Amino acid sequence: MNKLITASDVAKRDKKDSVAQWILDVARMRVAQKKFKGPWDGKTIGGEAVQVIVNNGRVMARCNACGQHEYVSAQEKIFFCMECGNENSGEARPVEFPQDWARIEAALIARPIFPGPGLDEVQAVFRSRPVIRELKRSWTPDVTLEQLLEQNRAYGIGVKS
Amino acid sequence: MTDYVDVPIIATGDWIDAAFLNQYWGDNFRAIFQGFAAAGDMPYAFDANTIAPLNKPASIGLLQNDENGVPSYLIGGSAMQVVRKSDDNTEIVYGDVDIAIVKKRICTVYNNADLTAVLPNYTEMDVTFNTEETDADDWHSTVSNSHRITPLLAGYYDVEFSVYCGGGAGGFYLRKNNSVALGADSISNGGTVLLSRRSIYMNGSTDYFNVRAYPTGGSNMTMQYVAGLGPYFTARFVGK
Repeated sequence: MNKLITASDVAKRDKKDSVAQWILDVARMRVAQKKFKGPWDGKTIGGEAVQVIVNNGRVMARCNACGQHEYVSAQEKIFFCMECGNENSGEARPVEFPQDWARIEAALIARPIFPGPGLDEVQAVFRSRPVIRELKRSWTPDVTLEQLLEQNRAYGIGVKS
Repeated sequence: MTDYVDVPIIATGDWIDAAFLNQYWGDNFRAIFQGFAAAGDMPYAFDANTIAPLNKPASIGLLQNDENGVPSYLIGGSAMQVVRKSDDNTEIVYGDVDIAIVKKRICTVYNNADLTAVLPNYTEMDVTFNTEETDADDWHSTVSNSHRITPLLAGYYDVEFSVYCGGGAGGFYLRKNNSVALGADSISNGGTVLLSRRSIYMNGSTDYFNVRAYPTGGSNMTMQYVAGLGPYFTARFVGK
């Protein structure tokens, strides 16, 4: 699996035209379930930015308010928490990606995985396991690109720069 | 040691089913409990990916971690080494300095036969003790330096020496390290001598008590073995 799963992949799996459209549709369902009061208006992006992380091959961010995680995408850098509606703000949050994101992504993709069971790639990556258990496809902003590459090199995995 | 599997963060859009629950929760719980058959064993994180068993201690024990965080048990006497009082007696500190395994804190030795001092006048000789009545802490040896009691626990001691002489004239010194006089007495024509001092500080390693005899009457001075009378030599720990 030569990619990280992002919100764009989830949207595509669920047959939505964009991440924004996926958020709008899912948020409407959450409002119906009385998770929070108002959905996103599809336009407003504000408040404190959330930081991108990678967990088990999936690109995510954590809600600054309630801690829920949501898929995010570098193509559409918006975050809407389906647990608290970004504190019922009606706003999506901006998502902060590091400058060397493309190289971080490449360093993680170089780490082999055993895909898990599932009919689509989102599920397969969600349930995947690392071939080398010390080399998970996981990353947080406190880990530098150089540290990722060093970990890879320690197990004989080179990355094209 | 057993591997377990990191549970991925679950986000909106992930599908959780029975297989997921079995894979992550069921398998992980099995991984943790494998190898912990004995009651009292505990699991600990050997590293970021591995659960290892910490086997229960063979006897009463204290749990400790080394500088790398690896847990183990201190059992029996070594458990005493976990904490101790500081040298200035103001706080609890770690380490085994000045810690000794002490059983009875008393040493009583004697001679089971008459001991005759055949010496020129005014020449000292060691009073030796060839039998140990009580010496669980190994403060005395009947083989080497049998005239000494060397306490192995630093602190204050009461010390006592008693002897009965059937005849002769002379005296006895009770000393620390054969240099510090703790007591002295003499006889002119036989008799009983009892020497004692209280609260003498000993360093717990090299300091020792000893007794010296010195004849003065120009004839033999026989220290007679009389059960209950002497020659007996006792040191007793009374406090730090």
